[in-house]
Amino acid sequence: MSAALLEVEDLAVRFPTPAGELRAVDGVSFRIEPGEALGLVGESGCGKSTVALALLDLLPPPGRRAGGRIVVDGVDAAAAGPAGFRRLRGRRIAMVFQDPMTSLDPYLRIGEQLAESARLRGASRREARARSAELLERVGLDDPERRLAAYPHQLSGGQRQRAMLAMALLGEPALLVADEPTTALDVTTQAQILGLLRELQRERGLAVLFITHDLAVAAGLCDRVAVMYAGRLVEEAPTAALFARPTHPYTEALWACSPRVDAPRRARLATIEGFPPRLVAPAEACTFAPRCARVRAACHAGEPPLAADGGRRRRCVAPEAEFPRASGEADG
Amino acid sequence: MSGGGPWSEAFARLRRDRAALFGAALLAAIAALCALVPWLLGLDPHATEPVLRHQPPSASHWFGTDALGRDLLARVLVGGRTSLLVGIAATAVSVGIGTLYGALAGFYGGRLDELLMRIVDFLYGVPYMFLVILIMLLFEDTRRGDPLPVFLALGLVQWLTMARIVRAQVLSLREREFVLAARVAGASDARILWRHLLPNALGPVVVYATLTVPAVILLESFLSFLGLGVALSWGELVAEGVSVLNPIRSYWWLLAFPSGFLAATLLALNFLGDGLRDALDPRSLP
Repeated sequence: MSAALLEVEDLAVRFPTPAGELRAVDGVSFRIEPGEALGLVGESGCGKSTVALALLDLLPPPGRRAGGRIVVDGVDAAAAGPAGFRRLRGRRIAMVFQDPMTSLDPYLRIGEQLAESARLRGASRREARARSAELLERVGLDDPERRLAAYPHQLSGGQRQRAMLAMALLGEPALLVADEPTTALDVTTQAQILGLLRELQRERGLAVLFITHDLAVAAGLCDRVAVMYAGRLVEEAPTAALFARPTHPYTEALWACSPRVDAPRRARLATIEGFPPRLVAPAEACTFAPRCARVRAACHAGEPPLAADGGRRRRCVAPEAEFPRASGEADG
Repeated sequence: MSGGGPWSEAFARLRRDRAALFGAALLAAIAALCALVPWLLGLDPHATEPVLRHQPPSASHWFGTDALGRDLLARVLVGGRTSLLVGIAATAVSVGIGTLYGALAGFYGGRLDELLMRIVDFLYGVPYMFLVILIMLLFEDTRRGDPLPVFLALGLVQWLTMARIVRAQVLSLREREFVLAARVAGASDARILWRHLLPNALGPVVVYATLTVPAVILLESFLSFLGLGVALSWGELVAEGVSVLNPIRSYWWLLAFPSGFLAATLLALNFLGDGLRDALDPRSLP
């Protein structure tokens, strides 16, 4: 338990609002080993992107980290100080964002942005240019010299996301944080980018924190998946085990909501009734209880802890045996 | 694929805008006239010819002469230099202060933003003429008609809106993902502001600056009208023209030519500003 690349312990993020402090993220802990891909899954507003922003110290004001430890490569972010952490982050962590339309500066040529990124990480001008061209080629953009001279709006969404990936890889990061990198793309492009991400991960031993609302996408890319609900982790398990048998009602419901090709025609897409709770007061019961299909008296007695059991962690009072194995899937 | 950046595309759009082209051409013509003609023809706006007082326009004095027999053509063109210079210099002061101020408020947000913007709100509430006169009083020692205090005074009352515009731009841009990406790469605040935020905020700044120039020229004219402006500007000439307006004898040229030039310049700048606003419209950007 010592070689973790990233260790997050008890992370909490608060946003002051007129109605009280919004507890956007509460007590989130996880670790990522070198070369491992962790999926962070949940619906809109559950705090998954906030976790990523908090990791990189990018929380939009007035949001703030209200607690928790972030350890990168064994170095505690708090102990390193703001400047030290900025250096560490630049060298070890890179991030790819959701919207390729806004993640590149419209007033700078692709080459200028890539070069800035490389030079901030200590490369010379000549090195920066050579590495940029090389990486553009690696991420599958043809004619890299021409792309370097292009402005972002002259590239398609998929090409831009490829350029973003190249930019992220310039610093040779050990960890890539990818916040819904394929959500804004059409399905074919999405598949290509995911394939590319997987290749890059294998080839470079890159660890990935992959944030998505799409369980199926996470399943295709990640070694382990953590499910978030209302600012908390509710379940975390190796991907195969999680999909073979989700043991939290929220994971179960989320999985049931995924559209399937093999569903009967005219079947209605399943939904989870109700809305996520407002996160102003501390939880006095399980936050999912009002929407839960397996709710019982114990759910209202207090928030269940995130209990570890083998390779799996889950936050639910219902015994594991109560959850059926997913149909048609091999045992986890 | 080289070229074709956001600026060159905006310029291409501007070139298709007839009103803006007309404005630019008119402005260039007026500026060239004011800059070159007095020098080429050796016109002297201060030479008096007491015999030729209040002459209407003629072949020897195209715009006529004033009460001291001074050539009005020379005075209008040389006065135009002053007015255009005031417009540009005061706008530069306002862009400089407003951009820096607004960028800091928008970028750092929080209490600093609150403080800075409340100061702007307060200054908005004070009548600007009062401010201009107050600022000019600080320059008591300089002789009347010296342009520098006027540049500063006008610039110092014109930056408020600029600061608000830049703040709003920076506020919306700083959460953009390309800014976050630069931050993750380790870019400093100064670098993010200078390299990413300001270039992206520049479009509205250019547009507003173009519209500030006529506002400042007009303000200076008003100051001249009150006897506080720069010596020999369009505003002062118009004021002179108005002062000799009476029902018995008409010296119409003393009013018509300076105000004609003033109006044409303001019109040209407004056309150009409108065209720039369309060409640099953020919605037409990628």
